[in-house]
Amino acid sequence: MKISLNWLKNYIDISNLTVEEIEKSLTMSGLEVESIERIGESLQGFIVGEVTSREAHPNADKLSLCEVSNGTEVFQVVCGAPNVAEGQKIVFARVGTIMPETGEKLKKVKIRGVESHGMICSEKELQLGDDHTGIVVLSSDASVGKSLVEHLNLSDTVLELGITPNRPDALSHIGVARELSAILKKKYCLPKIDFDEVDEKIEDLLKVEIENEIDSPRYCAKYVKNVKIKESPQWLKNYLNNIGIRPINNVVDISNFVMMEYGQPLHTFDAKLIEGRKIIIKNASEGERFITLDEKERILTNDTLMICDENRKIAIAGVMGGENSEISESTKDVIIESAYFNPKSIRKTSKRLGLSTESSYRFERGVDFNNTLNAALRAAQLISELADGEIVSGDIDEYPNKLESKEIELRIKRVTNYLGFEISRDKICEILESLGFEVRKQNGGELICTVPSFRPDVEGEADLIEEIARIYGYDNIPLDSRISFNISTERIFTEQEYSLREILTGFGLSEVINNTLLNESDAIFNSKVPMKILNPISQELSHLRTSLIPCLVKNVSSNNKFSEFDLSFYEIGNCVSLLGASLESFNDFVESRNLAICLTGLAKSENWKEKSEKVNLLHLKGLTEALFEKISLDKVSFTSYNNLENIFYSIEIKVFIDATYIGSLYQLDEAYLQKFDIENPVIAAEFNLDLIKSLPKRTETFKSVSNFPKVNRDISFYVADNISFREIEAKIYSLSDKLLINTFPFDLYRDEKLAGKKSIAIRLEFQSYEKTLTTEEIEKKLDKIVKGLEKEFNIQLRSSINES
Amino acid sequence: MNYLELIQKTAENARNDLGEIRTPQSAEDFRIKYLGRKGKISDLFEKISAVPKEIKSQFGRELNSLKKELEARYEDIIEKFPKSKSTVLGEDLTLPGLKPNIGSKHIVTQTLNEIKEIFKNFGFITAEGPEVESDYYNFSALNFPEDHPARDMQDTFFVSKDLLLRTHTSPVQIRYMEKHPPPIRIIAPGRVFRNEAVSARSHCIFHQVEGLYVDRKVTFAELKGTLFNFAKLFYGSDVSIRFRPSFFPFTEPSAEMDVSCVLCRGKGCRVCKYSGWLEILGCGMVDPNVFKSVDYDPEEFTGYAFGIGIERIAMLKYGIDDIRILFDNDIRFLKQFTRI
Repeated sequence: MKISLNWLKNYIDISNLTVEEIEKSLTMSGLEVESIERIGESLQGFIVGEVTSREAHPNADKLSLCEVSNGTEVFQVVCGAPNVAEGQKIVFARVGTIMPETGEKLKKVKIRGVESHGMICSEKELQLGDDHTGIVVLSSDASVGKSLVEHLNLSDTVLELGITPNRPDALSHIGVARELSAILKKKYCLPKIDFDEVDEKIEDLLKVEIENEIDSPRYCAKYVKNVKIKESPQWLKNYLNNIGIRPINNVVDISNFVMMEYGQPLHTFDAKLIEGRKIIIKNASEGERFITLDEKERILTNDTLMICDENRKIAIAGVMGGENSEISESTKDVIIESAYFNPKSIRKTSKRLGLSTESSYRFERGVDFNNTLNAALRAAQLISELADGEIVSGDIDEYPNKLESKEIELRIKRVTNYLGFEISRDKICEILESLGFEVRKQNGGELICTVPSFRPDVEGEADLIEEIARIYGYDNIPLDSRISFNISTERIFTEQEYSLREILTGFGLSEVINNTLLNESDAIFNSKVPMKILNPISQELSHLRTSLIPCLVKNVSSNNKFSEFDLSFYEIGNCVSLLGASLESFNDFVESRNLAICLTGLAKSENWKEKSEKVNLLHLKGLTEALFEKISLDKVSFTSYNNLENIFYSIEIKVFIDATYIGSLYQLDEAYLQKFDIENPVIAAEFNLDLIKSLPKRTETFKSVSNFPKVNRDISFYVADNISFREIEAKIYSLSDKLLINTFPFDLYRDEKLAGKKSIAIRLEFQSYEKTLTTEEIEKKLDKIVKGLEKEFNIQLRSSINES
Repeated sequence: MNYLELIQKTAENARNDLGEIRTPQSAEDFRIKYLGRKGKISDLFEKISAVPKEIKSQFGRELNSLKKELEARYEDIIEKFPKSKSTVLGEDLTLPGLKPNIGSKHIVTQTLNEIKEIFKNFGFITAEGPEVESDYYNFSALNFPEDHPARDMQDTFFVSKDLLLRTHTSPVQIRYMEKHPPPIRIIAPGRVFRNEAVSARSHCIFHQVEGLYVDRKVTFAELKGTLFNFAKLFYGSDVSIRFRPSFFPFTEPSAEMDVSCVLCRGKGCRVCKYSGWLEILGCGMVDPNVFKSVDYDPEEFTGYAFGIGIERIAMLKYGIDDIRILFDNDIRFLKQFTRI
């Protein structure tokens, strides 16, 4: 909310403070100054000028050739405005003045062959309004040569305050003055309300009935007759303009002024349009329709609080008035409404209608229930002063539900315990009293504090302590660098996710972070059902991801667009899927922590020595094996499937730890990738980290190492292509004893010429704990293995057995 | 000279020459002279067809044995020369090294790890909670009354009447306190959601670290001390901090903490909007109403809580002015941050 310092000066003397000092005081006490605007700064150089002569431009019908005096010199100016005339006081800009609209310097120009040495300005050119139909004509008593800023009293500094929702009391100029008064230890003053009333009595002109006393505890009204609706005086227009409210007419401007002065929203009705001389405050009926001031039709519910006359609805209470009773040019008599509405009721209505106004904003935060009548009187006073109205005697103050000020007990010791240092009782009293609290000292040392009616947020002792700390100054609170330690009885291990990231980064992968929210089709992977956002920002961000993989695929796609093809990504994040059709509780969905890996392009970055190949499932399988080994997970097994029916992937390898399925590796489907314009194969994996975390880890114990050398033997043979390595490996182990400590394939070759066979080379590593193995022993073992493989798989030995 | 003498002679010369070898170059000369393809040993082998039958086998044996001897002695000699490494590898060492692929952690993770590390040193352990939360944990238990404007501070995505995407990591406070009696000292990192249009300055997802410390006699002065020390460890010992009053329904008193601008060192620049200060976190003393919702006795225990926005801290640290780039996952961006 915006605060004009010119306006603020009416309530507190801030003349000896710089803007920066005011800014700091407010910010450091909780009314954060978000920005400072210096009004009038952009109008430097514009002055009051006088048109000393005007004649038609010799070469253009629509232009005038004027002579403009600045009091000391006369300038020749070409003007295109139809309303320019000799003798007018106008706004004049000399050559060189910076025009606020464009930010550019005004240049000397030739218009249709005649030189122009300046400009006579319109409202729009000065950014004082939207009018561009003619020039601004100033009052005839304006003194020529004076700066425009000075003449119109435009110079002002406006602070934009970020008021937190707990501080409705600061949503007004008086509220800010009151706050400054407590911080600066200066008095603030309220406007003097003083006016004459005509004999006519308000009871004879208006009756107010409150039907819903819970949502409308207090309703005040004043009646002003014979008003003249016209433009507001310059000072009022300036105040409103400076804080961003467009002036409309004197009566409307006054109600806005009083709202921004006291924080009490007012509404003004054209009394002639109120039927039956009666105002009734009651709820709407379900489904009723009502047209508000902004000419929109609103559909009401039975909990919408309405202001009605005898026959019709005339306003949505606290939110917006109706078209049918608004102030117009022809309004003569005005009813001023000032009320206290239940914040919850107003908020409900405002939320439901999607209609937030300055008025609803204040009511839903809570206005000062002791200032309701006062604000109406202030408005009446101003209407009589500025709109020549006659104030009808007497006020209406319907107050069926008296609101009481809260009393809170404050223990001095509690203040010390909370803040960590001592503030004296006297200081505490001084601070609270400066904020408008009434403080009574009890014998036990406690204070009984009566909360001022403008502070609905203060509800308990902790709130009082905040008030004390705030005004004492957070910066004045000492720093206490101690922390008491309770030694944990549980050992805290490095988090598994931390290790996973270290390992995967070490393996050369890059971590990505993607949005949880996606469009519906991308949120789905496999057969999982995504959760839908009821109020999404857009259809593109309407569902929660069920898998991390679709986003990783999108990352591949977007990087491919920049010719980045060799990518290896991982992501750790939460995924959510629904379990059934309904969503009412935590039982209806599963949220899991997932890890996904995605590889595409070359398996290894290209270099001058080694050829790299495109990634395939075995690269990812190897990465997975290494990853699980690093996090001490044993008994990893893989089962592969061809999923020809699946639209996302063509091959899936399911990964189990013992019997627990923890995730899968996927060869993503070409058609699926083509939807994202990806041409390279993409291999991905996704694991459930919640499951992985719950699995028992390998306990690492020492095993003695052999003191004798290892002997390697390679065998190389042809075998039918459909015999898997796993089968061969199992057979080899079954044909050997514990001296065979390891075996792995080191070459694999397929060729059309081999007619359904493959050539495979396998290394066998033998080692004993007791002795150096002799060649004869090894040859015997090897012979048994080869014979066994020949018998089982009909292998054909490709080369003699080599020593390596 | 018969053929066998020829071998004798060659052997004698060669042994002499071997004795003269001092440099790798002379060793190479020796190799070419005797052991090269057109060297003396090869010459002698070529003569074998002309050798009379009766001494042919002896000639062959002796020549072979000479060849082996010279080769062995030559190898011995060059073994002893210090080797220039390039001749060993036979490569141009100005070629780029054969690097393993280099991975990277996201800067949000890196920043979070740094923050976690500091609080771990202060004795805080890590706790977690779900991203799909209930209205109760996200709001009600944290003293956000229903129909209160405080709820507008955090625009919320709803997935059902009572379930939503958490708008802050503060629900973890409640979940943790429900399960653990005081004293507790936790940080809770995680993803949060705000129903806001995505722009350079705000995103519908971001990450926070929540902190909570509850014990007997925890004070606001300790909160200031802890966070000041955090700022010094994170930004360097010359950083200054300030606390400004603010409002969060679940803390009372509440504060926002600013650090002196890390870019201009408090002089004022575009990043700190010429104020010299950067807001980095919100904090406060746990509101007694929050303790009541987890059955802690607010008379016996006090506590403090804080929440740090990780993206904001990371962006300030790395000079990033558009939050969206963090989630674009452009490899050219990710690879800029390969630090552990």
